[in-house]
Amino acid sequence: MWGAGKQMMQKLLDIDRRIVFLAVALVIFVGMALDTVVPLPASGEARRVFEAVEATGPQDHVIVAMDYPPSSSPELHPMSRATLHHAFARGATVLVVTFDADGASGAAAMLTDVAEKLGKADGVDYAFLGYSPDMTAAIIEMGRSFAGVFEEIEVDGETVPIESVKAMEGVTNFADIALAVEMTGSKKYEDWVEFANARFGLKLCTGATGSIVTGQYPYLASGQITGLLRSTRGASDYETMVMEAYPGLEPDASKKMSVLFMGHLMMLAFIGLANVGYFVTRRGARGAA
Amino acid sequence: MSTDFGVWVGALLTLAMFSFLYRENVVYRFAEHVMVGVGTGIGVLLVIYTVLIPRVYTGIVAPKDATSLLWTLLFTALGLLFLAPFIPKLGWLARIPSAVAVGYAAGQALPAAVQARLFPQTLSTVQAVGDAGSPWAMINALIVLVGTVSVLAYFVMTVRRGPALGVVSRVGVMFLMVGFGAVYGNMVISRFTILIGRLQFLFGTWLGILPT
Repeated sequence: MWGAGKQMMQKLLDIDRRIVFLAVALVIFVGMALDTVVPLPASGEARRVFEAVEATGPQDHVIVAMDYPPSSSPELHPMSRATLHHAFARGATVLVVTFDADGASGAAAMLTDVAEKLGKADGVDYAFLGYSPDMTAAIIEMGRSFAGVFEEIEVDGETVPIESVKAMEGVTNFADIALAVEMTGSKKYEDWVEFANARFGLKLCTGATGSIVTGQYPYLASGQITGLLRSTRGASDYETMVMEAYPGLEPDASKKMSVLFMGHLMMLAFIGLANVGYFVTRRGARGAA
Repeated sequence: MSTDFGVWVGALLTLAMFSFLYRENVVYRFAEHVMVGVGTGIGVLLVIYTVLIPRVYTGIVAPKDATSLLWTLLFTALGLLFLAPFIPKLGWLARIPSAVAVGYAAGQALPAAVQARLFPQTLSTVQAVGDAGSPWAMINALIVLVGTVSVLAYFVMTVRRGPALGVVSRVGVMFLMVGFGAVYGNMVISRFTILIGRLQFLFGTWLGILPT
């Protein structure tokens, strides 16, 4: 009896990894096919992002920095979309910037998409500042003068001097910005914290992928970051709050959360089984010795 | 099913990448090379259109004033020195722009580290204990304080570890393990989300059999 159990466990431990991959894909497929939204209570740090954007109004300028490549977009695009929707709904003028070369086209497309849905005009209600190399130097310069980094920007397909853009009226540097929301899957947030916030006092919220978010919590605790969106969970929390307050935003991260939930359950089952198998086979090996 | 050519290219390249999960193969290697090639191509174009044309070419051909022309020429010359190793006898010249770049980066990073990390983080860790408004906040603040001190103690390498420092270091190791666990947990969320995004693209955008 014990031997049969041990053999079964050994087989389980020797399972081909490709079967595990297939199981993961199958669970995610089923989760997506169910197309459900699991209601979750909003986390405190996501609520603080909501409150920070909610505090802005028509007289304010909000920077949304999309510093991520397409590979991070499944996690960060829902946050960016919700932030843009929220800021536009509040009537704030939105300035989008990116310091990720690969992310520039995705950021522009996202901004145009959200703005068009809400009837916002390019160069009036929002401006796409574009991509700039040498992030550190650019952020320090933006603290002194936006025009020092982005002399000319594109508005409705035409390149024009930044001073002539209506959306930039009254904006010289970070002192004229009410809030910046930085989305990234890399260490790029450090430049925003170290220079934009610490040196120029810019109010900052961040959205981060799961792989780097733990590094941002100390800044949240110290108040250097006002609010934080943690991976898909944070995106889902924020998205839900924005959807409840301002209709028109389609659920994205909230749907992913229900699929993630199923994936996590399966992973916990695998970890549990592997541990049971490990201890059972080890006990058997000790007994034989 | 999508009729967009770009979606088909993306879907086939995604499948080519996924084929690695079965075993390494020529289709996977092709997709990998395409990715590296396209990435390099985009990078080169970006440098041309965001640095070389607006900053170097325009800065020299149509400078704002004499001072800006001088700065542009100076830093263009410094940048060109990075190419010196292609002429072996002049290879040492590349050390000059390297030294400038390292000096600039260190000069920027040091004050920022003190201003944004050292002082605010130390103050926040200590003040949280005094400012705790509830028993739970106090417990949380104490955990953070003990964790910070013990982890820092673990990385003290310049003195011989006595019994007291050894105990504190072992507590630090436990905090590190919990920290690594949190990082791993978040990493799982991150990777699962990327997979969901790809499967949404394959089954939704490409095949149209699932909602996107």
